[in-house]
Amino acid sequence: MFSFATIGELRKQIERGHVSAREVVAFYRNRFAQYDAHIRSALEIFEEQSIFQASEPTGSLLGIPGIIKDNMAQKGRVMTCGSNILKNYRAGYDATVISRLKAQGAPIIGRANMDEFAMGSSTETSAFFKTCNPWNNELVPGGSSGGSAAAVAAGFVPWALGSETGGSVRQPAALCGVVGFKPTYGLVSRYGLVAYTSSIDQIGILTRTVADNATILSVIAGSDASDATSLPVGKKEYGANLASSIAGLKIGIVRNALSSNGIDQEVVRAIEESIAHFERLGAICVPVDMPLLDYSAATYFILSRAEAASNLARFDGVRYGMRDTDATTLIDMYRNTRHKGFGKEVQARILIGNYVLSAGHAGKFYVHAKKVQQLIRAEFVEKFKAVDLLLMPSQAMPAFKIGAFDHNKLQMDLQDYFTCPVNLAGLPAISIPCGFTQSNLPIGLQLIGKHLCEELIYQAAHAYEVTTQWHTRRPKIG
Amino acid sequence: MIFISEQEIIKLAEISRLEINADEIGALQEQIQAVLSYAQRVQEISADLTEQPHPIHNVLREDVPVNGPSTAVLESSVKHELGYYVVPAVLAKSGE
Repeated sequence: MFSFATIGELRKQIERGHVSAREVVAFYRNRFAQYDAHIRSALEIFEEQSIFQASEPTGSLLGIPGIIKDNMAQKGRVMTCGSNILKNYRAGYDATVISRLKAQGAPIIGRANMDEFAMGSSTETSAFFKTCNPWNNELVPGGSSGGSAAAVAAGFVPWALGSETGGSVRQPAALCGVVGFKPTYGLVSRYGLVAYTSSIDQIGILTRTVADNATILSVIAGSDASDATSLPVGKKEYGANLASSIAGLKIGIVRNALSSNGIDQEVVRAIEESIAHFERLGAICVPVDMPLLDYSAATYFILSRAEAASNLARFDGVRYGMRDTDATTLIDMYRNTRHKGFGKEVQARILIGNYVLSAGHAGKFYVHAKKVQQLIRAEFVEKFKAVDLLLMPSQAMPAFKIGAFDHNKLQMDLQDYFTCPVNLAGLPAISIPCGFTQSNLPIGLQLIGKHLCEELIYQAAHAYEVTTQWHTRRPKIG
Repeated sequence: MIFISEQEIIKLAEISRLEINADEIGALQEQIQAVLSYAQRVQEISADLTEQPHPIHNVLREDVPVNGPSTAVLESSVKHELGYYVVPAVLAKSGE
């Protein structure tokens, strides 16, 4: 059986009776067992019987296994968020996305590794172990959904869920050479997703093809009464018109992104060649400038850390997770639990978050950043008056060495530079493979769409994918 | 360049309910200063907004009772009794 099969190919094999759902799941469980020791994408692969017991016995995703980033609740399963503070926590319910996947018979094969509480761009801050890039085991897969991206890139699963706050699906997708999609804020329910930055977080999807990505989105998207930030959008087939021509589609090329300080020149070259390719497909590529792009990372740092400080206050040992049982007073219990349970990056972000919210600083930082966020949103809306999609890099550089930014946290944080503006604006975007470096490392390009224009993004991405070969290249596994 | 003193880090740790060891303060200072010094560039953008370009509004549901999570949620805690979470005393016992 082909490890890198698409969802469509697997479904055909199952429908025709060439292979059973159980055999498919057993095959992929075996791939993890054989090869994941080198990559370490998964925190846990579930026992086979429990996988089938958890999901419906029929549905559009029957026999199509996927892995879930470990910050989404799966009933009865451990959910750690990559943190010691939740090392033994078992979720008592299913996240809405999980219920919807299970209702379609999707076998959920395990929990994917991640940066602790989704704070990171390399999956190095996981309390348990570091995941590596399937293209080169000395390099990072990106983050914070690095486990999910690596598992898909390595042919361990055809799909995975990740989550985005500043680019944590698109950036690892780019570094691992897979498709990573972030929906419009509010399109996919956050019920059961552990909150990092509630006003920005969205669950995203990683697959090896655009069509597969649309398939998964069609299952998980749509309004949910359990999530007050969920948009009133009904069920839709996002892949219904994938093959539509993109002749005449206006794509805005974000010029100042391509000339950013520090951007890798191989990334720039791959993007420029992709622009020429889109033009050959009939798209009209026009240059646009987005001056506020350069302020997005700063705005994002402030807002995300502020909300994180608030959201992570709930981890205090009282109701769930780890508790320091030696403490004799309540406040010592809080302090010691959080000190022992949280890793250094999480602690640093909480401190920064509380700084930007505190008296004397809030005006200059948090309040001001909220206003700049409005301006960033407005800049996108303005650009979208003249174009249908925007195109820019997904990443500043190809996959970097594990440990490269141990002493330069700011540089690590700036890996979100091209992705976080989209999160601030609440817009949908995709990263698709668009080339490789001389050292055979993947490069991704990003297509950004208007509010709730997921289908157009998928159409353009699909048109590019089926006329190029990048998505057919495989890392050497094992 | 933003400078954060050791005292400020300790104060921040206090309000964050985090215990920070003395040997951790230096590295934290460096990291926090670097990130905040970068982040302060937002102040270069004048944001004199008299109204939001894209107003957002709160979403509320009807004020009618719905089924909430069951007492099973208590099972996630280290210690609970009679429907309450059991935690150490708020105040230290005298003499301690």
